[in-house]
Amino acid sequence: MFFVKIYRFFTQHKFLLYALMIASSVVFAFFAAKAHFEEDLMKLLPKSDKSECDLVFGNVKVKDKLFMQMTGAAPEVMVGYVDELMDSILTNDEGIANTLYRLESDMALNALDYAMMHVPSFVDTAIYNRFDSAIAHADETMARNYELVMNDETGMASELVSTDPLGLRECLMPDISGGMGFTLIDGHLFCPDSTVALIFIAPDFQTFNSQEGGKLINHLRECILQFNKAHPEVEVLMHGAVVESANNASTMKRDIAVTIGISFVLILLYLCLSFKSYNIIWQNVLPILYGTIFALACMYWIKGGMSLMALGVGSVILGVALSYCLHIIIHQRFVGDVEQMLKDEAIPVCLGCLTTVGAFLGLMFTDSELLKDFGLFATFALLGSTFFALVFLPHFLNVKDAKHSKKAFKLINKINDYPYDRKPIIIIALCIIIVIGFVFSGKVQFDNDLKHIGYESEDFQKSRDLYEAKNNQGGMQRYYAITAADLDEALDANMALSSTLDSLRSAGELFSYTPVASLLFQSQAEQERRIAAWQRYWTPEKVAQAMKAVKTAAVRNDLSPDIFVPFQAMIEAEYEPGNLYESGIIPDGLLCNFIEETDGKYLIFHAPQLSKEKLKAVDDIVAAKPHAVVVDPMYYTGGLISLIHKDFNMALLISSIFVFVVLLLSFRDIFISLLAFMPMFLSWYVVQGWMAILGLSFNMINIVISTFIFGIGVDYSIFVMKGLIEAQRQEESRLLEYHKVAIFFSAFVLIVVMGAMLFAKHPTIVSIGNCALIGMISTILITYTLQPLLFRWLMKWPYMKRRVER
Amino acid sequence: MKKILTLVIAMLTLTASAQKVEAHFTESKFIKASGKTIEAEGKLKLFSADKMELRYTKPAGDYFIIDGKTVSTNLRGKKSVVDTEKNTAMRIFRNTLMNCVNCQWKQAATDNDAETSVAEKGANKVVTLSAKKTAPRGYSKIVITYRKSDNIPVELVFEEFNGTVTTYKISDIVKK
Repeated sequence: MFFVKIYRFFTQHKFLLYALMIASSVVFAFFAAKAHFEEDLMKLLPKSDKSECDLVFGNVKVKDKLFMQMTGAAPEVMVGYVDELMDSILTNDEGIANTLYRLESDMALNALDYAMMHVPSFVDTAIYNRFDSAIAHADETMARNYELVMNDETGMASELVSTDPLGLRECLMPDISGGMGFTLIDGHLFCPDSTVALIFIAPDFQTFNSQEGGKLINHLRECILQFNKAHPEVEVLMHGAVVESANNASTMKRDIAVTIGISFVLILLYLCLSFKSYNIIWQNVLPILYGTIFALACMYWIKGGMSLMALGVGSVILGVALSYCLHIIIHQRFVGDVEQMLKDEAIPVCLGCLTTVGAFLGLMFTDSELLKDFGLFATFALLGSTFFALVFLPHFLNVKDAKHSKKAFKLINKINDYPYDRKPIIIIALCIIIVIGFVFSGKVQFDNDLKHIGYESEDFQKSRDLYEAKNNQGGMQRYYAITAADLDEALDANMALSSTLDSLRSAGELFSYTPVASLLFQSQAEQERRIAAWQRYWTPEKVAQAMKAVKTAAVRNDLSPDIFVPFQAMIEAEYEPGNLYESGIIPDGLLCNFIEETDGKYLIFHAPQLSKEKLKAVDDIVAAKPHAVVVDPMYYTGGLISLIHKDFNMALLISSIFVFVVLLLSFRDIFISLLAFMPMFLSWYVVQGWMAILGLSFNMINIVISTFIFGIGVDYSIFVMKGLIEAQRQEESRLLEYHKVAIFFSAFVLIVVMGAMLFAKHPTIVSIGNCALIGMISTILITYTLQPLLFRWLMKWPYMKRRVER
Repeated sequence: MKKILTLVIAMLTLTASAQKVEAHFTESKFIKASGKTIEAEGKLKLFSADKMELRYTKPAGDYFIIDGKTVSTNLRGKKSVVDTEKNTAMRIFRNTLMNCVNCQWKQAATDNDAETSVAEKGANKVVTLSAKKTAPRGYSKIVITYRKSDNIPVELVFEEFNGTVTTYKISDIVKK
């Protein structure tokens, strides 16, 4: 009666009605427009216990770098092409932190200069036995030196020979050069077989910021398009986390626009034809629109905004709101009296809304921001839509408008009136479906790998496969890092990880591993230790022995023994520790592959190559090391998403209890309440069991749809239960028929939308469609079959019959 | 009187270092290791105290340009641009060459930890910088012959510790 009184009040104060409706809409729309949409999925996950892991979720360029590859022309030609393409890309460097596609000419000179000044810092104590061997093999080296000197046309080779006649550089260099993994052609980076030119672009934003990622990828695609017009013979491919993220966002937006858009057109067309009125469109759309802006405004007031992903998934929940509108509109068309409609519909609509909101509010008990956002948005959207549908909408319903397509309604009535609950074959089949669902429900998998819910285009896969085939020996490159607040502390800890990875390589767990960072960068203390070791090694006796070996070998090979003064000076010189990281010698694009400072912490990277099968085992070994992290947010999200799953199960339990308590308070009878609760309860097991049988799994996104199944299940159940009770009380009551018509339209709408999702490209949207469709169909079948059957059986019990008819 | 003389010498030195000069040069690099001598020649242009070009006509296309802290080279087609702030060896070489050309040989001696000796030779003055100790890089000896009249170098000899000797002879000097 409450809503009837409100209706009467506003009927007498129409101006107030319009003023309230317009003013509230304007206020909500204003604040909804100010809401910020968070696109970074990582920010929505619970925080990890390991503090170092936060860095992996942060702005680390190694994990976010974009790989661009050019192939299809001779390497010498591609050198120019790469420069041309990069010049065009860098005309607008917004979103680009640094690039690496060529090594500038001075880098080698500067590196050599630095190395000469800090030779002992690069000499691991284990290398000294190689020095002994080099002294012992001075003759062989000198023969090579002779060739170098005699073919020298600039004097540079002679300088090298006089500084390093024993080839000590060869004791160090193979380790370092082997670890770079590139072939250099005219200073440009190529894969080892020189067929693919490589370009690395580090973005200055985080991967999961798909808004910034989208801008950068669009710019790169435009440059590639223009470049390919001029050079159609070469192919430019790109992959990387930023590309994947941008592809994901654009595919998801396109899929949602196409599937939801087309299905909405179909639905509205069907509704218009069925009701022979266009009014049905805005009568359904306005409450949903009002609910949406109300929810967004609330999200702005509470948190300043919400997750875009939660908004996307939450839009499905608006289907539940649509169901309430349909109940009100259809009932009005049947009874032709707004007050009567409100008397009949206000309680079931409010009850449905309350229980569904309860299901969503259970999500507030989780640790995931995504689920919390989703729960809050869905709650406010439903409250807003229901408020509009019960307070404003009745004033816009034409009391005399009862037009509808007789043909369409005849078919609907035929479907609705079919005695599903009296057909043993249907009942048995449904029971078998439910039992199978129960049996297999425990077997449904929860896929906690976020990569599996991402979309990968053919070009993306081609680029990644090409890179792995050309550079990773058929395996994959994995980044691990040591983190510490202080560079020296990180460098010291780095030695342990380097040693662990080296052992794993020796044990055959890694395809290849070169500790480039460990070879190039050492802490001050380690450098001091190495300088001391250098001095201990180059005793006057050792210097004399080496110089004697060099001079004797030089004479034997027709070289002057007097040219080796620089060598003697080098081994006898005093050295100080250096700081290669801050020397500015290594360009940023290359340096960030070894060391990066981010958020006040230093990360030192290792990039072994390994097979996918051994990935998890090696990840676990590395992650267990102090200061060590796996530079892949997905490694940590797996565990976190499992936590969300557990949280979610708890949320569902809380929601279920809440819904049941509300049903109990409303129906005031345990048996009726259990009956109303049954479709929601059973359909959840059917969904789980049949997803397991069909080989589908839950993931972080589609699991949220279970709340939708809960919501819609309990709504249909409440409406059917109210209809059944009314029919039991008054034989002539047509409430069940009206409710079933509304349920039919609601189910039609939702099944069309969910069905359309199966045709989407994005795996997440397809998985939502699968999950929701199974849930919807099972809910409807149970509501139409088992609920009336069990109610009828219950009414055979005189006590219950008296209670219901009272 | 001594102070005035010192001031005049300093002013003359400054004047010399500020001179804009164009000249022809020959370069002769004797590599002790192989016994070979590599000959080259070209045009030298001194624009200011920190800008100088050596553009080779033999081998054609090669160049060595000092422009502030940057040294650009083209050695048989292999080009490089080096920031001397990041490269100690190149910084010492750049500073030594510029100081020698600009008659700042005392500074060159300090940079190279060398002893100096000056001798008069007709219209020329010969300055010799000798390294006090051996080093992995740098020069064991630098000999610069300046015209006394204007302190413009006419010959520079750079001897490295490995015995490589590079001699620059400067002729057809035109002051701009």
